[in-house]
Amino acid sequence: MLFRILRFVFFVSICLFPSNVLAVQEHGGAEGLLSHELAHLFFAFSVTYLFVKISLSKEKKKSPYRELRMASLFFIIWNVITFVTHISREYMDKSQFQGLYLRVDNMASILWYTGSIVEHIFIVLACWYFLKALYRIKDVTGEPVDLPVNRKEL
Amino acid sequence: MISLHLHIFIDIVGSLAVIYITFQAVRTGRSIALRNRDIIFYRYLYYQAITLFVFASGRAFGHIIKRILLLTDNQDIWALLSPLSGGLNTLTFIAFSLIALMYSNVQDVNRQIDELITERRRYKRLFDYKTKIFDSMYFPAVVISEDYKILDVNRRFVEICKDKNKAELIGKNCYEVTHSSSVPCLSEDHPCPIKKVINEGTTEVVMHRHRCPEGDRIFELHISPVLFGEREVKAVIEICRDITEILKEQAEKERLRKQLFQTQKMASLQTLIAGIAHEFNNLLVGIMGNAELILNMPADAGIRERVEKISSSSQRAAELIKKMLYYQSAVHSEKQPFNLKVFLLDFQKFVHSIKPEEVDVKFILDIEDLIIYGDPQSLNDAFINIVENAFQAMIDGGRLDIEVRKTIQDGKPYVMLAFMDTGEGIAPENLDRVFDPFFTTRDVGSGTGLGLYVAKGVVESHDGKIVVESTQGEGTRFTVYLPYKD
Repeated sequence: MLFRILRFVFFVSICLFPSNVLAVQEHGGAEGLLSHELAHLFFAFSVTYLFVKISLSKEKKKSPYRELRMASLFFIIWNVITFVTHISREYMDKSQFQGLYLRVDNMASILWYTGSIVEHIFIVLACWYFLKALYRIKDVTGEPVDLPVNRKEL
Repeated sequence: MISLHLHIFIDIVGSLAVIYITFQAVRTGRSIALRNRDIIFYRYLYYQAITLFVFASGRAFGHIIKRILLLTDNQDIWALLSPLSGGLNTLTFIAFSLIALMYSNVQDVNRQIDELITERRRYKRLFDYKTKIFDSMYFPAVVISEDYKILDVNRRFVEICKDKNKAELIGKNCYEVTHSSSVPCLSEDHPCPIKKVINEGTTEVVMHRHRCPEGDRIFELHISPVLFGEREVKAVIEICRDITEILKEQAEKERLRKQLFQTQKMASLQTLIAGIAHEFNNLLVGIMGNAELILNMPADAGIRERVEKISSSSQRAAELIKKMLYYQSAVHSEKQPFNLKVFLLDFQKFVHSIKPEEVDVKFILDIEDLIIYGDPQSLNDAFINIVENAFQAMIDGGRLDIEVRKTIQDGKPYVMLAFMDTGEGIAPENLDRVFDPFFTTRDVGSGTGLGLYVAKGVVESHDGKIVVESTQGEGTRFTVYLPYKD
């Protein structure tokens, strides 16, 4: 129930607060930073939910749940980093970018520079663990599964 | 100032890595989902992989295109594309998030499917177990519905129906398969107990003759109801026990028992007859000798007439004793090689000379010169006895066929002599007794009942055998088998 309410609130929020703001990747115009950041929060919430659900289950240490749990964890971290990076970009001035150089003279530029590098590590790790989970399943079910009985026979 | 070269490098490498990884995830997820269609969780992961790929590749392409456009001083184009890239990015976030939130529901569905599969496996194992038991039964078994359709058969049943497999048998009418009939078995000698078993719920045991590819077989059928509900019977299980060989063995044992009884009876009778005949003969010698002496003495006519009657009666008694003792002499007579064809040609002439006018005799001699080891005189007497017996059975006329040809019995060469008359025949209850001494169905005084007894003794003393077959009102056939050596 709580989840449904939250989900409703997120969607309503996206619709109610359209604004002409910019993000790291220039989420401007009709999209806007706010909706993108809310989507990040929604993403973070859903993968946190996944992480908690798996952590509470008995299978958390077994494949592929172990790998899925790790993927969820890295997705959470990635969301946090990109969320901060998007905001920090808003506090930077365009003049700080000079060709292929960046003038680092405030905290926002440091956070942006660091975040936009580190986020790649976590998104790659998250995707890699997700792929690993699928590989684990494939290892177990590599051969075509011999289903016990044809449904029609039951 | 910090150089952005490393930043750009990591951006491009990281983006390419994510594209590659998520593409692999889609491929793997698809493979898993297709191979395990019943596991909804795998399909869930596959959909997650797709959204992740769309999200990651869209984002990564966005990053790469952005770098290229910015480095080539095309900020205007990037300004146009940027909202599209960002919007797609946001949408795929949401799609991935929504799918991620369905985790619990998917797991619940998956658990239910797992339980279903487990249950199905359990049923499959149970089904296999029951099928194996059914197939391991030594006796053929078949399940038949109330409308005579075959519902199931075990392996043994399929084996006895050599020309059909299980799939061909199921669905067919039982009477078509086991009786080659187009209607259910309703005849009195093959009553079908299926209706009775279904109506009364009892077990029935009946004997049926089934048509099998190798010939007719006799089956003892144990038919039990198959209960579908508490007392609802809609099918029966029929366990078929092939008792053909058992019945054959029983018949053979019965035949041997009768044969042994007959042999013992004959041996006892022969001993008794020989003893009585010998003693009686001694007494007759005294009676006949004294009668002769009296007849040679002067006496009145009345005494003479009575003594002559004593003498003639004694003569007849002596003839009877001679016949009784003939069996012993014939059986123990000297045997020598002789030409059977020559013997039979003489015998043919003799038969024609003694045959009644109203009887036709036909000889079929289908043999070449053949040497037999035996006593031609005693064999002649034996065959004459059989022929006379046939003539007496055809007082009102008829036909006697005598066929002689070579044959094989139990792998050994024999000469077969068949005497087939069209007389009155022998009653079935008398067939076993026709070779007994003194057995006759004729009027007292018209036969001694020793002819066939002597014939059998003579044939058996030649290591042969004699068989009688008769149909009352149609005729009788005596078949003599005499061994010969090529």
